[in-house]
Amino acid sequence: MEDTPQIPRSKRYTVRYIWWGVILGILPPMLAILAELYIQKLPFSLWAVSYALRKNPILWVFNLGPLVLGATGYFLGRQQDLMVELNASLEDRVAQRTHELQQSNQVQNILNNLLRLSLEELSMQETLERALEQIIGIPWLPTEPKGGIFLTSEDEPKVLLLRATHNMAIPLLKSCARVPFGTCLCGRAAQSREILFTDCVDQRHEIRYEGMQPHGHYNVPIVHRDKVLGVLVLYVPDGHQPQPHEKESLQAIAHTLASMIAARRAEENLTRQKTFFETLVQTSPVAVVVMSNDQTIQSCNEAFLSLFEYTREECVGQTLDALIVPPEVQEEAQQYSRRALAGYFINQTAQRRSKSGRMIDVKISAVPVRIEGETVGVIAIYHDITELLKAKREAEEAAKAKADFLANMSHEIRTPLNAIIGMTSLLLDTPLNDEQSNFVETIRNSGDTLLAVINDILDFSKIEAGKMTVEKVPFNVAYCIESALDLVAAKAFEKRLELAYVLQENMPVKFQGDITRLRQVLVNLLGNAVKFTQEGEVTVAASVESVQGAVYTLHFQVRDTGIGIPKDKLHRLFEAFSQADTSTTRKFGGTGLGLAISKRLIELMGGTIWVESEEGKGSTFHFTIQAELASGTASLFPRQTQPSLSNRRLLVVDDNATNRLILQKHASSWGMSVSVAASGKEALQRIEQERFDLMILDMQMPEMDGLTLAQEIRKHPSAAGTPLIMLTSLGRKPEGAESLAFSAFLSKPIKTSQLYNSVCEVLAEHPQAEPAAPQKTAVFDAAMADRHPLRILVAEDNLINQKVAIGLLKKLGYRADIAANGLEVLEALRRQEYDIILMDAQMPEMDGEQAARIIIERYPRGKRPRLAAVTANALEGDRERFLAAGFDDYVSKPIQVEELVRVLQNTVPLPRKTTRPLRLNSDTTPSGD
Amino acid sequence: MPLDRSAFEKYREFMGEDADAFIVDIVQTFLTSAPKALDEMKTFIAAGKRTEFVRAAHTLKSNSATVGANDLRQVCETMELQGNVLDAAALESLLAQAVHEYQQVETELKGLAGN
Repeated sequence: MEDTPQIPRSKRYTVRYIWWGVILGILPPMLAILAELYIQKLPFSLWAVSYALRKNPILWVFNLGPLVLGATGYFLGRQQDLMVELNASLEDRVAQRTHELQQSNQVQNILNNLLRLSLEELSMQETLERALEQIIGIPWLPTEPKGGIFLTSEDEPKVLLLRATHNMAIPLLKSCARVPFGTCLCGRAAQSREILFTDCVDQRHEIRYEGMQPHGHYNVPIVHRDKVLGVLVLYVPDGHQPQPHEKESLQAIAHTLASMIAARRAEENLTRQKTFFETLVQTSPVAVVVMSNDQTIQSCNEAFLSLFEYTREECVGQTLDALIVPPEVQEEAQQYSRRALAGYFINQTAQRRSKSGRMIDVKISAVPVRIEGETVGVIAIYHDITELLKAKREAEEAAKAKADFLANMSHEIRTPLNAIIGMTSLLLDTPLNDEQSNFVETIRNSGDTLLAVINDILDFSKIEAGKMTVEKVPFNVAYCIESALDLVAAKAFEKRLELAYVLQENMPVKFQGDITRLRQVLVNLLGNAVKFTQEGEVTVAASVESVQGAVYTLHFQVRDTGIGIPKDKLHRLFEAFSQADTSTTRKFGGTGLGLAISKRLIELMGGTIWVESEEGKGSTFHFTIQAELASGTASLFPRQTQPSLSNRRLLVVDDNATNRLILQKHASSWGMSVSVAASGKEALQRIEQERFDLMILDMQMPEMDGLTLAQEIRKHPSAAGTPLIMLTSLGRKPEGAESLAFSAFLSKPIKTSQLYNSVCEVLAEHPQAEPAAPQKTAVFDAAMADRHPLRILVAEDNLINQKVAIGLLKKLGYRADIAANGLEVLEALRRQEYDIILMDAQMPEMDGEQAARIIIERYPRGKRPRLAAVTANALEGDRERFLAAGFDDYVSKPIQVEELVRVLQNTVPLPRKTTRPLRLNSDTTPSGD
Repeated sequence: MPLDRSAFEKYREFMGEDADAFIVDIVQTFLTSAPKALDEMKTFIAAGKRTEFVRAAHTLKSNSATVGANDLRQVCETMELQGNVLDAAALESLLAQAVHEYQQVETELKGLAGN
């Protein structure tokens, strides 16, 4: 059967079967007519046929044959055609599917190849070029063999930079080098984040060049985690009809490219950082070593090698401590390593040893390296501080040498000056004629002036060296101003100047501060005021400027009616070595340091100084200081009634005969009974024989200095409680003096008035000692309480200790009261006076030290019980600690009988005031003498 | 020797005829207070009350010294000094040592106290 090209494939069988049916259908009527003609014996003619047809209607049935068979043929043919049709469509689908599979396989292949690229050690550039090659080579993409990849940069995330190209036209390499988002096709694709297809060069193709061939494009954005990394640009022939699978495949490729680029970027960042840090570590001048968990060296830098003189081969894999730690500190170093590995930061200075055995002072910083919470090693850093320490030592030595020199100079100058001033003032008390008297006055005044100059210079050096400190002791502002005025009173009187002071109404007067320094400032300003004022008055005013909590800012003004200060000189006034005019120096004298010193002292006291002045009218110096209100009730006023000094026994200890003589003469003139000792040893012999009310000790003595002597005295069974005054020519308190409870420090040369005031103050606090102290007896029995009655408070929380103390005291005849903690002690003191408190240092609620501090604050010396610390921590230095905290004595636990007896014997009972309760909250309480 | 009898000898000499009564009183007090203190310390460790623990160790140290229980005093001193530093397990093992030391001296002290 021939195919008829005009007939569609789907109807071929139908047509064919109809034909066959009709042709076969003609045969039955023909045969039936021929048979009828034969049977009827009719001739074979058209008439006969017509006749037979009319005679035998059955023939008509046969005549239906072509119709019936034609219809059957149609049905069969149709069936056949449908079958064929179905087959054909199935084949089509199989073919298409195969084609699709092939394509997806190829896409997969490309993706695999791209992924393989990302595993290779390639630079970003190489990666992009190889990837581009792969993509352009895809056979099913209708691309022309050229294209490119743009990337954005970290700095400019909205600009595409052409990074890889394949066969792109030369002019484009330049014009497409930098394409901002939104520009041309690539920029638009980047902007929209969707694949952009064009089949021709349309108006969106902004970048063109002369001689450009017609073409189309696929512009595929490369997006990673919502961030446009770049665009892949491919060329397609002009007028290309895009297929859906093309876009899908390109999308997949773009995804893979995106993750490749992101990974490569991260890798590059990491490498860059790693290189950066490695360079940093390797070229660092500080020795750095990395240690693993087993304390072996993993790596180290050049500085480490050169500091410790090892080669890298000698270090790596070795135990760090074994290499550089000297054997004597191995244990300590091990501890550092362990601590660092345990996750602690180490910061220590230590000594380490180099290969050649050189000892190096190093500052070690070690940090654990932790990864996901696990310590994987330690980075240790060694700073060579050998030079630094050397420089520090040298500087310290130099500073010490300077301080020593100053102290020495001070001593060397003050000693002869002491003799000059002391002897002249003694000389003035002898009968002299007018001329002699005048000469002596002049010597005396010159001595005073010289002393003032030296004091200024020493103060200034001390300030310059940062050694000047201010004290914080309770003082009375009114008293301070008065005593400053006293010092310039004589001069003012000579010049017939009025001196006055005024305090702001109702202002508090008791503050914590450094009365000596405040007075120094006031005296300096007053001295200047008097010096530069010819007539009129000099006044001091004090007021409260502001209050912040307990801290008051006090404002002082020193006003004069003197010559005033020219405006152009005002600003230099407080500088060192400057007076308003050098001619003033010649006329008025002085070192020019006074105001500079005052300014620094005021700054140390938290204030400022400034001046208002009008030439010819006078000046007003203002300054402020900060001071806390003084709590407690220590008597801050000068005593209204001076204690009687007559017959009080004084021991003067000084190796300098002149000084001894001066002190002896002065004290004798006040009616005191004075003994002298030329050395510490002699003094100790004297106190064995006699009890003194007061001792004045010189600091600088050969063999045993004042400090050592004071220590000995404090240990002495009967003399330990004697008040001591220290004389020093160093211009400062000797170190270590704090713990020895000196009642006063006086600096040489001795000013008679100062000496007198100090002696009065000290003796007012220490009432007359027992005439003849009972010498220590070996028998401890119930009679002790009769011989030496005391009111005793035992402060102790521990029942057994209470029992021991009470038991022992009872055996001595004492009945003691008990307090279980510091609060109870204070409570007990409020009810009753005690002569001594045996105080456990560690009690609950309020411990012994706290209680002692409060007692010292509340009750002045002479009115408070003797405080003996009782402690079980028999550590070295405890004794000093407790004495420094204000305790008068110290007993270690378990209490020893001898110690207890010694403490009791050293206790002088307070004067009994059975009729009048102690008034604690009034300043007007007369001091007990 | 867990118990140092010379601790009391010094007092005995001084107290004369009152010595026995004095010593009995002290020892009795110790025998009642020490086990209580050890119990308390155990609960202090468990409750993490370090300050209280250190204080109790301090008191027991002082008392052990008074009665001459030197080994016990030593352990107490360690507990006092390390009470804020060591972990609970270490303190418990120290405490167990203290209990052991206490048991060592208990009988002898009871002899001294006369029961």
